[in-house]
Amino acid sequence: MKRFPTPAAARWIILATLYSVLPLLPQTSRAQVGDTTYVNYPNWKSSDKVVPSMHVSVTYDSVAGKWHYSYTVSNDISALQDINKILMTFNGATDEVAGPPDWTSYLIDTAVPQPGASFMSLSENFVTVPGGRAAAAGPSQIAPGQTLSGFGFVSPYPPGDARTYIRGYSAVPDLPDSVEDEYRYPDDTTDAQRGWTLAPTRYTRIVTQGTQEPTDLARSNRFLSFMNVDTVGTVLRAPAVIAVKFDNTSGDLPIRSSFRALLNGVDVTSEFHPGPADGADLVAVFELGTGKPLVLGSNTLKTFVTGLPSTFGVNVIPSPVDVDTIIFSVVTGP
Amino acid sequence: MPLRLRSRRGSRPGPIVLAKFLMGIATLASCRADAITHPPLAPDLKIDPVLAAQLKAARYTGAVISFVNTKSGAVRSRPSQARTMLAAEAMRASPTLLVPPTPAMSMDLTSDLMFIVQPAGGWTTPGGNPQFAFKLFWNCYINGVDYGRIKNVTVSNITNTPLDGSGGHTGSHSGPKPFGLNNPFTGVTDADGYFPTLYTATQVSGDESMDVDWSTSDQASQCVGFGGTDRYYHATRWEGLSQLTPSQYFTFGPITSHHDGIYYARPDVDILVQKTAKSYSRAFNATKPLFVTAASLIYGGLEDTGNNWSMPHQLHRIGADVDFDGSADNHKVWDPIMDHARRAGFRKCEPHNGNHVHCYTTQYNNPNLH
Repeated sequence: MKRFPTPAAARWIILATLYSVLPLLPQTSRAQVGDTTYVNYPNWKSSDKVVPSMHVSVTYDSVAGKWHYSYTVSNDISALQDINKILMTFNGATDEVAGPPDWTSYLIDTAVPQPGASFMSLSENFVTVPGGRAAAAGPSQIAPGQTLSGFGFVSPYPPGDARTYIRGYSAVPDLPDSVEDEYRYPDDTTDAQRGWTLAPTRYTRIVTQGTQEPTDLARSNRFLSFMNVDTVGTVLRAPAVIAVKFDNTSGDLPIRSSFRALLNGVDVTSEFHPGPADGADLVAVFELGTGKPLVLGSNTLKTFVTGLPSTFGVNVIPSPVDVDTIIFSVVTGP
Repeated sequence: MPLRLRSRRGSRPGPIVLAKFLMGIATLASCRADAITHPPLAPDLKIDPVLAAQLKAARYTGAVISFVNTKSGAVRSRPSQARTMLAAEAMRASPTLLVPPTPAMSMDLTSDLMFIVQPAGGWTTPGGNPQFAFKLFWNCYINGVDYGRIKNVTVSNITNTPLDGSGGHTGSHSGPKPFGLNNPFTGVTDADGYFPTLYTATQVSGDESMDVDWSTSDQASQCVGFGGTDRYYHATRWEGLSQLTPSQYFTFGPITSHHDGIYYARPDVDILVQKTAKSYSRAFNATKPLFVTAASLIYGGLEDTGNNWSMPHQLHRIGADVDFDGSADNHKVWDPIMDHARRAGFRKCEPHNGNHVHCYTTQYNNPNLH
């Protein structure tokens, strides 16, 4: 299986090793599939008896302008099934996908309703089970108590929340010959442990143009927009992602190089990195930890962008500044 | 191909007197077999006024058929095929009278089908209705003058005959092609002069002819003693299907059965196939082949790949199901195909028959499983 090349360290900006993500279930696996009394598929068994955690590391290659995502998946010892499928849903086009040896790893085209990527440990063989034959176990499933790394992407798109489904090997028998009946059973996205991670994201909407600060001159409030947080009330999972876009749709001229950001009073401007033009212009990923500006609970992000409103002459001095204050909360967990 | 209306008992058109029979078919709202209802028709249903004017101007002698769609109110009329026999008898009675030639009338199986029903299939054809209720009635015409409805017409038989090669079932099949039935197929018109009947289609799509043998002994009608056979055409079709769009991203499996196409589907299903195939091809850099091995026939219905008017395909009748396959028959091939198809929008995919992936878009509801 293809692996990413080792990057030249000098050009890499290690954003963070981000731990979190999936429903970390310390106790015995919790069924997420829900009510299955309606299931009539012969000898069907759920595939949600895994207890996964997924660690993601996001780095930015400033020379290539690419984001690198690396994932490590663990299956808690309390799990009742091996992990054999990891399905991720995200909308950022991705250049490369890689998985551990013996795993089938591939991208799902961004033109389909549920784009993203999948990683599967699959066998070409069958086993005999009650009700017929089923797929044999994959060659390198993640057994309870085991951890497997090597999953990852390279993408020009910055990180954002990605729905992730992790399924266990359950050896559900294939339908017998000539059967085309409409058996009922849960969808794969229901019959799985569901959670969130970070993956390439094309941000497509503006949530807010920020706050109108007393220091903002008229019409200067639109230099910067926020694509995943509102001015107040947004709750983000740690690690927290902030995506912004310079707004020149009204003919305004924000000066990108003037962007500055303070998170809880700490200058975090350098944490913001660019993305493709059809998404967020700058994205930062903040993790929790000692010495880190991000904290659990309430956080305040203050941004500054200088620019020229379309209604101003180019000789306006000083240039107007758009100051925005974003107050958001950070939580851990799924 | 246009079909010329002809008399089955064909004799040449002859002069004379004559009674013209207006046979009308009034369509009614589709009805279920266990609750057949025939809403009342207007008592003075007329033939299409445009044609009536033409017939009057031409002093047309012969029968006229009208098709009245009570749902839309549209009236379609045409000369009855039974007229030739009547004309011949009239000519024998008064050989000196001349009859204008029959106006050219033709029909094709697309525009002049008397009705189209959907193939039977129960839960495998959800939303379909294989039944069509209609009424027949006869009016007596003489020299372009409508002498009113005949009140006592005997229908001795209504027979439906499947047309070879229709519904996508080309080539030889074992056994006779199933055909639909009318109930009742014999009887006498009611007090208003109507003969209500209900047609029920089979699971096999295709076109059929329907012959109505009738006679009248209505002593009050100037047309007493006449009768004949009229032939109509109708079809059993699941409409709205089109051929899946060929693509560089997948390959159609060879068609080994006697059908001119098994890759028809709803347009929205076609889109899902395209998205699935493109995504799958890109995912593996076109190194893993993807095959589409089954969809539906051109007009849906039973897809008898055994050329025997029966399964193996229980589904694939409404353009909502597609079979995919890859380079081998195992889960290492099937599971990524299913993943791509589901993410592209198929509602569900699962391995079937040990040799392919079946993808659904429609929620079926097999009562035997619930």
